[in-house]
Amino acid sequence: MEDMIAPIADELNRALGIDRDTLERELTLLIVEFKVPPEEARRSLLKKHRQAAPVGQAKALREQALVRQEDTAPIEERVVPLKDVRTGDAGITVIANVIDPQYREIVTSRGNVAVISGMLEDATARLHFTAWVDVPDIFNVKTIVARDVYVKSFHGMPGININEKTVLEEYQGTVGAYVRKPRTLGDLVRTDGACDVETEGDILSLRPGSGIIERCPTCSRVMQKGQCRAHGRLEGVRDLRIKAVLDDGTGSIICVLDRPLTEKIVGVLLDRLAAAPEKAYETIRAAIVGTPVIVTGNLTKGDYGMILVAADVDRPADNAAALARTLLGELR
Amino acid sequence: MTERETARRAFARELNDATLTYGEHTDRTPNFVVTPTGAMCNRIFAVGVLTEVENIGTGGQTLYRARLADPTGAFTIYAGQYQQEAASFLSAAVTPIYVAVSGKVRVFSPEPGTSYTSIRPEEINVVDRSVRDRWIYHTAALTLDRIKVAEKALASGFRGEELTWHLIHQTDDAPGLSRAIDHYQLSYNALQAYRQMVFNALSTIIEPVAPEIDLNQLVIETVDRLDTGEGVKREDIVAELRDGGYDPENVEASINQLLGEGRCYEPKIGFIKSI
Repeated sequence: MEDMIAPIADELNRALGIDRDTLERELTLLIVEFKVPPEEARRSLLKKHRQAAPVGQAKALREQALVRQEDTAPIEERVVPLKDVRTGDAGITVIANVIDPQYREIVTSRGNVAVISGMLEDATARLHFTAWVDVPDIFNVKTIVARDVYVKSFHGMPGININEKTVLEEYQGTVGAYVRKPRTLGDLVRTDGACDVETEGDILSLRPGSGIIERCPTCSRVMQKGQCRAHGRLEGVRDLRIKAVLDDGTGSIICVLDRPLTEKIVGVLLDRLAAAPEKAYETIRAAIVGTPVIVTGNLTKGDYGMILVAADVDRPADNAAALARTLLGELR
Repeated sequence: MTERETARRAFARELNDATLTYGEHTDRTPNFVVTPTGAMCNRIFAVGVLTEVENIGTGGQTLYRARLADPTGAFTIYAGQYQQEAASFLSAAVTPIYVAVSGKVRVFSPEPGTSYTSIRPEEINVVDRSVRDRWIYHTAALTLDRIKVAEKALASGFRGEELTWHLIHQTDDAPGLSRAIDHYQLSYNALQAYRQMVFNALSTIIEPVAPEIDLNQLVIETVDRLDTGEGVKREDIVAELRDGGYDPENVEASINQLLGEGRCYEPKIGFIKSI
C-alpha cells in the first residue's frame, strides 16, 4: 500500500502545489488507515484542495480564455467524447459545439433559479447541458472546452452540468457536427441514454398498454377504465400507441411509437382501428410482431428500463440479398 | 428491475447441436442453453418456413409440435396448454408458411447421450420472405462474430475460469464460451464447419443473376399453372419448359434453388409446389 502513496502524492503536488508532507499524511490516512481505494483517495484529495482555489472562475468566459493553458489544465484532465459520457461522471472535460443556448428559469427546492440550457454536440453524440452560473459568453462562441463538468441524468439521458468550479474556454479548433449513425442495441443498452440515435431491431412482442388507449384531456395521462389517476372519472381522448420489445440479438429495449408512427408502421389509421376496437390489438400484433424496423429517437434510461421514444420508424429496405453478398465477400 | 433476456440468433443446426445447459437452478437467475459457438440462449428468435404441425396431445391435452425450417435444418417448437396463443396459432396454420417465433430454449435429455433442443414459443406470427431473408443475414453475421471470438479463445491457450476472465471484455458470452470449448471439445475444424454452414445459408438468399430470375419466376408460374392441388411432378415441369426451349439442366438447377430458398417445397418426393 505504502508504495502507491508516493506517486500519487507527487502527482497531486505538481497539480495543486500543496506540500508533499501534507499530501502524504492525508493519503496514508485514507489508504492505509481507512482502506479507501487509492483512486478514490486521489480523487477526494484533488477535490478537497481544488476547492480551496478561487471560485467563480466560470463567471466570465472572456477572462477564462485569457488564462494560460498550464494554469487551467487540471492534471486529471480526461477529455471524454460525448458518446462515452456517463451519468454520475464528475471532473471530466468535454470539447463540444454549443447549440441553441437559452436563459431559462427553473423551479428548484431552493426557489427559482436562472440557468442557461441548451445542447452540446461533438461528432459522436449530442447531449443536453445546464449552466448553473451566468456565462454570457457562451452565446458568442461556437465551440467550448469545459473542464470539470459533472453529469446527471436529465430526462433519462446524461446531461452535462456547468457550475462555478467549471473552467470554460473557447476552443480554437473545429469540432465536427454530430452525424447519426446506426448503432446496435448491444451498444445502446450499455449507455445511460442517448439523444437522437438510430437502430435496427426485430419487434419481438407488444407490451401491455399497446393499441387504442384513452388519455385524460387535462393532463394527457393514460386512463384506466375511464379514470384518470389525477382527475378522476371523465370522458377520455382516444389515442393510439405501441410499446414494443425491440431486440436485435445483442440487446433488448422497449420502443414507444405514438399514433402517427403506429399508423405508419401498421398501415391502418386510428379511425379504422377504432371502428372495430376488439380487433385493433390483433391487427397491430399481426402486422408487426416478428418483423424488423429501423427506429430513430431519444433513448432514455429510467425506472422501467431503457425506452426508445421513436421520432420515426421505417421498414428496412428489402436488401438482405445485397447484404448477404457483401458478407460472403468477406468470408472468401 | 431485472433486465429482459435478449433473444439470441442461431441457425437451427447450431441450436440442435446444443447439449449444454448452464445456470443456477434458483428462482431469479435465468437458465441458458449454450450452443457450440458459445451463444448463451435463454430466449431465441427464429424466422423460417413452418413445414409441419402435429397435435401430439394425449387424453384431451393440448400439445402441438411443429417444425420451422431454415437453410440449415429445422427448429422444433412445442406449444402446450400454457402457450395457448401459440397453440391456437399452430392449430390453424396452413403449412408451408413463413413464420417468426420467439421463445424460451429447452434441452430435453431422455437419456445420457441423447438430447433434443426445442423452442417454447412466447410469440409467433406470420411474416413474409423479406423478413425471413433479413433474419438469415443477421443470424449469419452474429454467428460469424461468435465463430471469430471462439477462434481467438482457442488460440489464447487459456481454458476454464481463466478463459472466462480473458474473454470478459470481448463477449457477453464469456462464461458460455469457455464452458462450450470444454463441453463440445471445440476444435478449429468444428468452427470451420459452422462457418461453412453460414456460408451456405447466406448463399441461399443471394439473388440469382438476371437471366436466372426469369427462369425461377417461370418455374414458379409453371408450377402454379400445372398444379391441381397436390403439386407438380418434377419431370412434368422439366418437360413443359423443355418444350418452351429451356435447357432441362438449368430448369433442374432452378427447381433446386427454389427449394433451397424455401420458395418451393416437396409435398411428397418428386412433387413440387410453390409457396
